[in-house]
Amino acid sequence: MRMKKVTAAFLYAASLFLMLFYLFTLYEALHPETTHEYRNYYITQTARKWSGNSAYEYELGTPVLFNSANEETCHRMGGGWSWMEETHCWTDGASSELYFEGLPEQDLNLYIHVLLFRSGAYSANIYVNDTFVGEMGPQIMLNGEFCFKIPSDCLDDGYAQVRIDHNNPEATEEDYRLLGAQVAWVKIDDC
Amino acid sequence: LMIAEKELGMKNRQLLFSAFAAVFLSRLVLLCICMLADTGLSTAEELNRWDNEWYCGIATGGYSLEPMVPNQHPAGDAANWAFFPLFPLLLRVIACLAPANFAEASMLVNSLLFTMGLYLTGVYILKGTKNISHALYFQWIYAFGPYNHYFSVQYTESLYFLLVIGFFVCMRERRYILMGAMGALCSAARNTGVFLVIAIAVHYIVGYLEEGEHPSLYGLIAGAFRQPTLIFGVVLIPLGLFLYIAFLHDLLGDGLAFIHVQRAWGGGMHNPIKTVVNGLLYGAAYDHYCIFFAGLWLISILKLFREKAWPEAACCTVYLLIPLAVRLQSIPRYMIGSFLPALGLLCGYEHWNRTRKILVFAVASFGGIFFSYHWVTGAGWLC
Repeated sequence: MRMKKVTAAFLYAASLFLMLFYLFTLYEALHPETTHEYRNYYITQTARKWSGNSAYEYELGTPVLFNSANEETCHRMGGGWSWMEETHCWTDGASSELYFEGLPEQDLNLYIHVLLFRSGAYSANIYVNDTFVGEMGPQIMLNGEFCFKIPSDCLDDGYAQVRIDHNNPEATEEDYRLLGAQVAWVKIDDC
Repeated sequence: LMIAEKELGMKNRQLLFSAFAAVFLSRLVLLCICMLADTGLSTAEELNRWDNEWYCGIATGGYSLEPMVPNQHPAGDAANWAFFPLFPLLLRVIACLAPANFAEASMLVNSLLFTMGLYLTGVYILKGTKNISHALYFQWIYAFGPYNHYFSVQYTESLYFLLVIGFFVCMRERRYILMGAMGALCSAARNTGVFLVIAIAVHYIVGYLEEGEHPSLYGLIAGAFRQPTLIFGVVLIPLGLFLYIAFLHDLLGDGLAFIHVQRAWGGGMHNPIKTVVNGLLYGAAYDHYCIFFAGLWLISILKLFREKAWPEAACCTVYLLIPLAVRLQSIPRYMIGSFLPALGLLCGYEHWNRTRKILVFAVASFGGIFFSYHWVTGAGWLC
């Protein structure tokens, strides 16, 4: 009888221990500690291509060219982009993303060079790591180049997710894509 | 009592002998097919195709830190994290014991696991039908039926089949700790293994409702907590899965990498009905082929429910919904390898007459030979 009680107590204790182990493991599983490249491709599935764990590394001042001769640009692209064309890439959809890693923890400038907007009614809000940094659109375009200040405190250990939220992207009868802007290049540089 | 025990022992020996004979003869047929198929490859190469490379890769080199670029995945995003560790672990042990004849030894071990699984299937059916000829019939039709080649190649089918049937035998005999151990191994063998929890939950609830005079929710829960072996057995089932999650978290920082890496194979979780409808409307011939098997699977579930095999039916339903939620691919293989769909399809065969039994066996065996031949000659649609 006593033996039976001891066995039962052991089984309950072992069950409790296993439950605690499961809870701890589940907590860890729901809080992954991976590279941004891995997270964006496999977990959030926002990245367009898998290009390894150092695909977002960026050297300040290097223009990221959006044209068919620079396929490596695709490595840092998230969703919301159409295919690469000879001189540019159209944004396609409600939101377009780009990823940069290895940025210094200081105030920086983000440059976006646009060749053309789909319509006069178009505008876009620019965010870096979900912090609003500015707006772009045909009404405020001078020579196609837009410059936005990235405050140092919105960088995440040198990582920046640049998100362009498009207002009024348009499709036509001939073209099903939700086009916004023709982007030629993007650059991050010192202020 | 002694006579009854002696009789049972004799029947068990008969089932064991039958399992050995069925596996031996069906493997002989498989070898003949390999010899007849003029592929220019060795028998081991003819039989071990497609995903077996992943399992062997894990067995010899372990899990990778980054995605690899095998031939079938030009995007370079596929990784071996999708493959659960129990079978590769078994392969690793075999590789240590028989390094020179690794492929042959692993196929032999898989065939032995299949034999043990068939024996337990016989025991399980004998318990349900009380008729040994029904149990023997099931063993033979399963050994010779469609997709039987999977039980001897470097795939998880044999191991998983043995563990699932072992789980159900232990559950029916109320040996809950052993059942939990089988479940834990199952959850380390495949992503669907952990859902055996549903079977024991249904088994307990049905038992409680049948036995309880005044059933209540409190009585249901309190009754379970008064059985320490049941509680421990149930809690044990997800152990394999959680150990794998902990391992992946330690290796990659992502414990759910086995789910996330499905992106490489075009899989995310969808509505299973939508998968079937899309396959029917827009799919190719292969999708329609898989949907046909999904339909057979559904019939088997309905038959299990009609037979009031509630735990088997509930588990069989989940086993169909999970792969369907991801994609149509491999449905026929999962169907045969999970045992429960086959059990459902053959439900009620004890009422068949001899002619019907022979006819069904002949058709199943013809299917077995047909599929084995195409597998040996490299048909990708059999993956």
